[in-house]
Amino acid sequence: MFIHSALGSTEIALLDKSTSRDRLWNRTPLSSLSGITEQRAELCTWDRLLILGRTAELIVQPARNSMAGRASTELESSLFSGAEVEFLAEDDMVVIVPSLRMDTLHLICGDFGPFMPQVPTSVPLWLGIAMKKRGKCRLRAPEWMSVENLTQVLELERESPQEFQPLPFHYVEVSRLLLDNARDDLIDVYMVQTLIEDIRNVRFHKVQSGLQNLSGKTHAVKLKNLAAMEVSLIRPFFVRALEKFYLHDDEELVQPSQTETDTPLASVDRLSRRVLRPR
Amino acid sequence: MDDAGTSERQDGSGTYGVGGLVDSLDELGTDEVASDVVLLRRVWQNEKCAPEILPYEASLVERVREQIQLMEENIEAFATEIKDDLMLSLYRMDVNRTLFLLRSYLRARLSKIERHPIHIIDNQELWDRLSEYEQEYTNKYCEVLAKHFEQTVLIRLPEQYGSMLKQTSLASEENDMITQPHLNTFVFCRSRGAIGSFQLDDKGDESVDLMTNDLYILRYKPIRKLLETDQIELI
Repeated sequence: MFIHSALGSTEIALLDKSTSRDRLWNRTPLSSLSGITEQRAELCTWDRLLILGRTAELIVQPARNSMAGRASTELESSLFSGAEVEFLAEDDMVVIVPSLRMDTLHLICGDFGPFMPQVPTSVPLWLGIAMKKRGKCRLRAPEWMSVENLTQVLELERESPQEFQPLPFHYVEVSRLLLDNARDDLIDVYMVQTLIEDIRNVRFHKVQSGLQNLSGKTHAVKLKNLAAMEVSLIRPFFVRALEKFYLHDDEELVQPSQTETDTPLASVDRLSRRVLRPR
Repeated sequence: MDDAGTSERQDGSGTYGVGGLVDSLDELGTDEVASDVVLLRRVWQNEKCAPEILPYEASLVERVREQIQLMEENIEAFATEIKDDLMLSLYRMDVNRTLFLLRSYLRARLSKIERHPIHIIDNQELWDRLSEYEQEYTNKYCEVLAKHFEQTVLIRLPEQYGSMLKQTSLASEENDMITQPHLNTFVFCRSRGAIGSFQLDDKGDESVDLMTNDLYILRYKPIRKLLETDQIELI
């Protein structure tokens, strides 16, 4: 197949980050599988990369003088860091039960309160956690974080290998923040923690197997219900892979692509070759 | 958070003119009541994710700056009047979070300018997307860059290789050494309304059904129009 052979000879630098984030991905370090040493970029062919992609987290960078020809920092700097994703998650609303009386807070991001002892009220997560840290309130776990709901979600996740169950966009971060900061307010902490851990693993596994569906024919990927942290994790790999596929799918683009400006694409025989892959 | 270059610009940005810049969010935002922080958050995310520089949100930035300033004054007054540490610290946290958004937004734009300064200067459409201060910054940055290249490398090369913009003055007629943003890259986006079938190329042989709140990875170039009209957001 043309695309395959073209990519097979493309130099792709791999950087094994699996050990540094092993806890997140819960997989074996790449070094034991391929001889690629961690934290060291290596050149690799596409075929090999697809196999590796299923077993370890890889950061794919174009080789220095590859056809893409742009600095690898460009993409990375446009990504959201883990802290930034968490920052976004902290705007999610959570219900607190205050233990003090306090007037309404007129914040830039909105008005919250007034706070009365034992009267539940809804506030942004960052506000709730700040009050919790001072012992001024109890946090109430959101409904989706109940053992019943999570058990059900996990079951459905396992039953349907093609789709993701609806969970809050920031479910990973919100649950993490609540488990870290308000452990004593949650019911069945260990059960909840294990369930969320399992759900994450099942979902990441789906994302990984979804990688196999990427090909030169993929021009749109639909990821219904994918969560923020999952987006962050797959972004470097997906974007690079799709870019490369796109580049090599259309020979016309390979040579003059760098000087091409905003003119519409003079696409060649895309007609029959493009198939949307719903996920 | 505070390296000299950008914080200086932030202080100066209090006088950002309304200019001819269009605040696209204002135009569309009549049917929903979104706070400025929510708007800024979305604008920030879009700016971070898009490969090219987006129109500067002049009036939004201005409004947020005013609110931050007002809040800072309030906090100061409040601190002397009442001694309620909890409320004070919550107010401060709120201000800091908003400040972070604003700084990060301006910074994301600066880093794009630094990546493709000459391309932005050359392209009128992109140039108009910058604020007055950003335009000034771009000009100065280009000057410094040209001077640096000249002094370190170009002066030592044979004459025909002495241009920063051309590969050789003999072979290339146009400026062919200007880096440009990669518009064919793929971005993660979410539709803000049911857009329905949307064409991904000019021929119309490839389309995708954009449903509300669903997540897609799409090529940036075809969807930039949707981003301009605020029908999708990047994440």
